[in-house]
Amino acid sequence: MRRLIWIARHEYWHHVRRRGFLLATLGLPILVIGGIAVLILVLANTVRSEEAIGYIDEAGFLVGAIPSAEAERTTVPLLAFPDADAAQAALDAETIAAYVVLPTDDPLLREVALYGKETLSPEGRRSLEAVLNRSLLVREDPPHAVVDRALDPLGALETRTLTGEVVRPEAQIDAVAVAILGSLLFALTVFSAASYLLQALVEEKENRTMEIVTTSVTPWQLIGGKTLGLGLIGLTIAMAWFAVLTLAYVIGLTRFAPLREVPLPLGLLGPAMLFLVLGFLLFAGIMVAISAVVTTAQEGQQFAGVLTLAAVAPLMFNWLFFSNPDGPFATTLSLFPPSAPIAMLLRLAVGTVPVWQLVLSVTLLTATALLTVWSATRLFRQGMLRYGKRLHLRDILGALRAAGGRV
Amino acid sequence: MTPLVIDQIAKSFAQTVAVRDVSFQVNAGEIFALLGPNGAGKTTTIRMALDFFKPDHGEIRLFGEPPGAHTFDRIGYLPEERGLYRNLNLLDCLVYLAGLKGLRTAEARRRLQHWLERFDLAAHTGKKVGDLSRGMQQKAQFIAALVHEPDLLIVDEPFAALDPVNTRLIKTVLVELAAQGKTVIMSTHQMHLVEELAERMVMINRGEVVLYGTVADVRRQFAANAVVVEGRGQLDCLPGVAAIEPAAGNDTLLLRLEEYVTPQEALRSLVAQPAFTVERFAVAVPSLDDIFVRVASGEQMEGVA
Repeated sequence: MRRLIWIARHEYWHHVRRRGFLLATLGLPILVIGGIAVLILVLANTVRSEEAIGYIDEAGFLVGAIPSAEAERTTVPLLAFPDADAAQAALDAETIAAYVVLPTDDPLLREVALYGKETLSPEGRRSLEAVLNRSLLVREDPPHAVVDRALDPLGALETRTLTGEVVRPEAQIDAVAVAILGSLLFALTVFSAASYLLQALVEEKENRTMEIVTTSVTPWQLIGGKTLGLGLIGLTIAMAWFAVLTLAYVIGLTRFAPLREVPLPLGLLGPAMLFLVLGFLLFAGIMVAISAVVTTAQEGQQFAGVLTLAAVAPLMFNWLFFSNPDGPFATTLSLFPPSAPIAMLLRLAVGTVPVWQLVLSVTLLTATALLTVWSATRLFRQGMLRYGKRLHLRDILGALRAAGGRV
Repeated sequence: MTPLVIDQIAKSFAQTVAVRDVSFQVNAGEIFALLGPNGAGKTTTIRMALDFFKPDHGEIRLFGEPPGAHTFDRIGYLPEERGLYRNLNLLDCLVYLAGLKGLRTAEARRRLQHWLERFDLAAHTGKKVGDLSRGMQQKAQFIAALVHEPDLLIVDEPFAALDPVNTRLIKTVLVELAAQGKTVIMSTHQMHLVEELAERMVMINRGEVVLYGTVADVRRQFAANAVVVEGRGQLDCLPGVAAIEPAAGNDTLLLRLEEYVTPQEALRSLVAQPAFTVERFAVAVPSLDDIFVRVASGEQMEGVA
């Protein structure tokens, strides 16, 4: 055990001390979060709603159509002006951001002129349209309820899942965003660590240190030590992202109100950690097996790339998870071990998963991970000393059958 | 406890027979040479002794037991395929490798300081291994093989890439280790170093043992019926001498004897020559290099191995 820890410690510090690792681990999340923050600020400033919009309605077409005080809180206020001079004075004093002049001779209000801005913000446009629509409707004197329904016919739209549960669309969108972000972070963590493992093993094969190492420690100690050390690297990457995201969230709360509505899936942390460990174990085993079979790091990365595709398939087809999280596609991928970690996280983030599926997924993933690691250690010894030679299927089957992996 | 006993082992990879039938024993405290042409099966034999592979047939006993993890710390190994962690600095690399052999960091550093100074590498401990010369890397790897003070040191081509000064240093260290009771198995193609250092040897060719015994015995077995003579004066025809040929070295002659004449009889005839003074007389034995070439090219010795 002491040698396993020794190897783990060496691998961890060897990678953590590298300048490239520090830049990638700390720099990248800061860069990404910073970039997103800048983008949000720019967008927020570009499409900022007007403080108020003025209007000149000499013919009085809008009488009775101006929204109530309660409604004004959620829309851009419309302020009446008797003439263009008064409106222009308010514009100069920045009381209003723009003003419109309504026609005096056209009850259908077909020609409305805008002054002060090239175009209105979506919010300002919606507010103005609502008032114009209402003014057109009220002239026919229908009941208020009809006017309200005509102005907002889908106001009482209720979104339900296929099983009939009512969902809040905004919450669903937030959950999808959190699920995708979480899955990307998960994939980054697992595949970074597994990739480091592949690189470390193939490098030892390439630089011929493997013969010295394998006369000093057992394959279990070597693979276990490297898996532990590089797994901790993955955890370090995850913690760095988690810390930066938390900081960004806390700062964002004070600046960006919609963030308060984003649901934080704290209940997912437990399952996420379980799938993180099992997922890493599975891919660590796969990487060890690949490193034993291939001859160069480049070849190893190509093999790994193909398997990584299977793992990230749920992210590539994420709409199928969000539209039908309990459908056959989502269910199958959440049970298939290589794609199970990300698929199950996506499903858990946007809905509830039957307990039996959760248990089956964890059981299949655990069994496959252990089988992969077991097979990998058997392949390892034979493959590691085949400098420049790839293992063939017969060698692989022979290694798996042989006692202790020595053939 | 005999450090290594190899008994009738055989090993094949797919259709290729790497080792057909190899048996030999390495005794404690000796420098033992493992010889053979390229592809003869030496490295495969070493790797089986180190438990990389299991033999298909036969048995290997390392310190009286089958090879395994329990013998790791008693073995030091300098493989033919050299390799160190090129991105680490020299000291970190050696401390890590010593740690794999069970040495604590402080003890590893203490021992490494001694060896690095002895091998003239102390000034380079902060350099990356990849920036060191090939000879320096070779010495560093040699240190890695012995820093944990193994009972059995297996060195494959230990003198490759070394200048005469460092070759002499490695030779001295190997002799010192043997004097301390450590066992050294040395695989090399430099036959003069085998003659100089090894007491016993085995030669493998095409997966089989073709020579085995003490170096002196093997050379004697290949000796033709001839003597080497140095002296002054005129040497006339001698009874029982088939031919007199100049040999290597000034005033050295090779006397090829008739089959029925022994070296002792030839010496008596020489001493009886009035016009010739014998200054050196020796039975002519071939160099190990000659023997290697002859055996590798197919010549067999009766009764050997």
